[in-house]
Formats: sequence, C-alpha cells, structure tokens
Amino acid sequence: MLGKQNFSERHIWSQARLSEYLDQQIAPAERAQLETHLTECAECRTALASLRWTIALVQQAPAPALPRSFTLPVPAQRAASPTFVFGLARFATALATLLLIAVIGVDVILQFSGGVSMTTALAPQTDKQVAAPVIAPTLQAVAAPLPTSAPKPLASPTQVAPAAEVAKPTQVAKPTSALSATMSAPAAAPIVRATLPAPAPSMPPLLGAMPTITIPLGIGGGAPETPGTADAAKARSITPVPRASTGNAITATLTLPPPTATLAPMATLTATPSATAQPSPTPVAQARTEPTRAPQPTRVPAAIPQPLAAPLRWVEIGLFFLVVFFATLTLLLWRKK
Amino acid sequence: MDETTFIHAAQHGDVAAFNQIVRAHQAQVYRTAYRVLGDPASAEDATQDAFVSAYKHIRAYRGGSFKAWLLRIVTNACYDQLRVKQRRPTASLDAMLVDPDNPAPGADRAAPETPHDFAERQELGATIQRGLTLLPADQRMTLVFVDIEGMSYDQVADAMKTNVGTVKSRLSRARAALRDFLQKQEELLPAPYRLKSGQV
Repeated sequence: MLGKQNFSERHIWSQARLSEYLDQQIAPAERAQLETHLTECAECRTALASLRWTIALVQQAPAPALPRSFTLPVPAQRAASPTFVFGLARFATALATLLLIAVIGVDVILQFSGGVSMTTALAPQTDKQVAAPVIAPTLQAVAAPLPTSAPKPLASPTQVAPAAEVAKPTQVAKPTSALSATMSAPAAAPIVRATLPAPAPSMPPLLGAMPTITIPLGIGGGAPETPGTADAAKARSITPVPRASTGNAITATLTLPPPTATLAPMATLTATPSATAQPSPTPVAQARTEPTRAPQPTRVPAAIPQPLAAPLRWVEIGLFFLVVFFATLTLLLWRKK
Repeated sequence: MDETTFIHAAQHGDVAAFNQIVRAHQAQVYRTAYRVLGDPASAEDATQDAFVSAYKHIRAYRGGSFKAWLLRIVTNACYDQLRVKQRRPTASLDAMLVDPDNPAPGADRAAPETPHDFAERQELGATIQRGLTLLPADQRMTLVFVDIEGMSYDQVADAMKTNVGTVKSRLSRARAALRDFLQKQEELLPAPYRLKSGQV
C-alpha cells in the first residue's frame, strides 16, 4: 500500500517536472528521481514524448512575415544656426528690455529729483552770466510787487560791478537815447537796466501784462547812483549802453518818469543794439535789478532737463522698438522650433 | 559597431542608432507579438508601440540583457493589445500569412523547402496558432518566450516580472494544454508532423 502511494505520488510529481526535465532546468537529485520513475512508468514516458513532440511542432511553426519596418522616423537635421539665432535673439530681447527699464528709470529719477538739485547747482550761474534761461525769472522778479524802497546792498563783487556800470555818468549823459518809456514810477528817478537778448519773441505780451513795475530806488547801499536824479528833464531819457560783458545783449539805462505817467499800454522800448547783439524788433527785455535777482526755483526746473530729456526720449523710443523687434524675432524662432 | 554602442548613442537621442537596434530585433519582437496576439494587425500595433516605448525609456536601461529588457516592453504592449482586443474583437484575413524568408527558430533550413512542404508548414503554423490562442495570456507568453524565442527561465521571469517558479509552472501547464490540443487536432495536421507511435 505504501509502495503504491509512493508510486502515485512520484507519478504526479514526475508529471509536473517533465517540462523542466525537457529543458534541463531540474536539480540533479530530482533528475535522478524522475529518471528512475520514467523507467517504471509508461504513462510518464508517453507524456514526455508528447511534450517533446509538442515543443518540436511549436518550434517548426513558420514565423509570420514582417509587414513593414518598425524603425522610427528620424527627425530632419536642423541646422545649428537657428538654435544659435534663437538664443541670440532671446538674449538681445532681454538685454534691450533691461536697457529700456534702466533708461526709463533714469528718466524718472531726473524728472522727480534731478530738477531741484540742478536748480540749486545752477543758481550761481545766473548771477555770473546774463543769459537767456535767466530771462523769465528776472522779469518776474521785476514785475513782482516788491517793497524795494530801500535797495539792498549787493553781496558779491560780480553783482556790484554792473551797478558801477550803471552809475557811470557817461552812460547817462550820452544823449543817444533811442529808448523811451512812459511808466509809472516814483519821483526818485530810479534806474532800470534792461538787458535785451536777441531771440525774444515773447516780449510785448510780457511788458503789456505788467500792471505796475516797482523799481528800487537805488543800487549800492542806498546812495543815489545816477546823476540824472537831480535833473527831472533828463529823467525821461533812456540811454542804451553797450556792454561788452553781456555778449549779444543790449543794456539800456532807463530813467523813469514821474508817477503821473501811465505805463502799460504805452510802454515802448526802442533799443540800439550793441556791437555784438543782433537787433530784434520785439526783444525780450530783461530788466535786471540787483536786489531782485534771487533765483526762482519753481521756474528753473522746467528749463533745465530739456537738453537731457530729448535724447532720453529718443533712446527710450529706440529701445522700445528694439525690444519689440527682438521679441517678435524670438517668438518666430520659437514657433519654428 | 556593436549593440552597446547603439544603445549608448540612442540614450543620447540618436534615433538613427536606435533604428539599428530596431532592425536587429524587430523580427523577433513582431513574431512574439504575433504568437501572443494571434492577429497581424494587433501584433503590428504592439510592435510599434513597444519600439516607441523603448525609445522613450531607453535611458532607464541600466545594462544587462537588452533582449530581456525589450521583451518586457513587448509583453506590456501585448497586454495592452489584449485588453484592446477584449473590448473590440477582430478577425484578421491575413492571419495565415507567414514569411518564407524568415522561418521559425529551430526549423531545419538545411534542405530547400518545396512548395508542398511550405504549404504543410503553413498549415502547422495555423494549427499551433489556434492552440496558442486558447491558452491564457500568461501561459501563452511564457510558452512563446521559451519554446519559440528560446529564452531562459530567468529571462522570462525578468521579462514578465515574476519568479522562475511561476515561469516553470506556467510553462508546464501551457505545454500540457497545447499538447492536448494538438493531439486532438492530429488528424488535421500534415503527416510529417503527426505524433508517431515510435516517438513515444
């Protein structure tokens, strides 16, 4: 009974190991045990032969025809230049954008903080030079109703020198007055030096808009500086004095009439141009009086950034178009990629 | 250039080098897919998917048997196709086409094959394919990998992500089932392929 059970168990075990035995994937001890069973079991020998036949048939089965090649499509070789150009365009776009931002930043800084500092920096120049940018504040300073009955002494020598010129008797004594004015002025006979630069298209409206002109009575420590103050008849004469130091400006010395005269509508100026000045039919008169020469900070910033602002605008516009150009180029190359 | 060089180049994106690998393995891959799936169209799709997937993941190949690595991808592609076939069963008219220039592995190619022999072999192939189709997918793949492609148990276990013991049991059951099918169809087989009494 035990022998039959052992045979049955070995038969089942051998049936399960026939496949491995055919492939020689069985352990040597199991192989010996299986071969022992095969010698005494015809059914297992038949099963082994049928398995060997099956495997032989499977291996003899024809292979299917290869329908096509399964190679992958090779992408077309792109030239290296588009990639290089793409990187270059991207870099140029970034660089132009950064430059544009930097220029805009500089522009903004100049707009908001540069004006005040430039005003204070340029203020001394208005004292030393009688130039066109100083015209507007000087005129306004003259037109302002300043209580200048007592003229202030000049602080700097550069301001005293023109006063001395005004005080020269030869300038007043010369009867070359081509400039006449009818103004409302105190009887103390003040003197106004009018500096007339050549390009001055806006002079008549400014003069016409003057309601009153308050003119200091004296220059240089309160002492009368013009000998014409004693002579009322000569007070109505204006003697233009050529000044070598004013460049292309015209300097005229005015002796204002008594206060009974009327001013605004009839204010006429007739100037004789100096040797270096260009004659202008409508000159802008810069009535310069030393006590009112304090610079007006609110007017200067409008004129100072002009020489710098225009190039900045052009640079900003140019950079903007550069950014647009490079960005478009980058997008086109990116879409091609 | 050997296969390792092509693999290294393909890992760096060289499609041409990968195509050299494809040319070396595409017959085996398609044959395996065809035996597993039993349908040329599905086998073609599985083969193409397998190579595309292999190219995408070739950087994950870390050495070893490239054939086993590739057949693992083929196995997955076949499983995918089997799921597709279960949802949409199809019947192919050219399922019987075989390649006379690409005989089955292990076949004796010493003697030239006559048309009669070729026809008989085509009939044998069709019968075996029908028997394979009856097997479960796991057993079918195991039998194809071992008996048709000649892979070792370890390679099959690696390709099918299982252990050698499972491969042995699946192969044993698959062979036994196919043997029973062929014995039942023995009268339909050509005479040279029938089981002779002297072989037992």
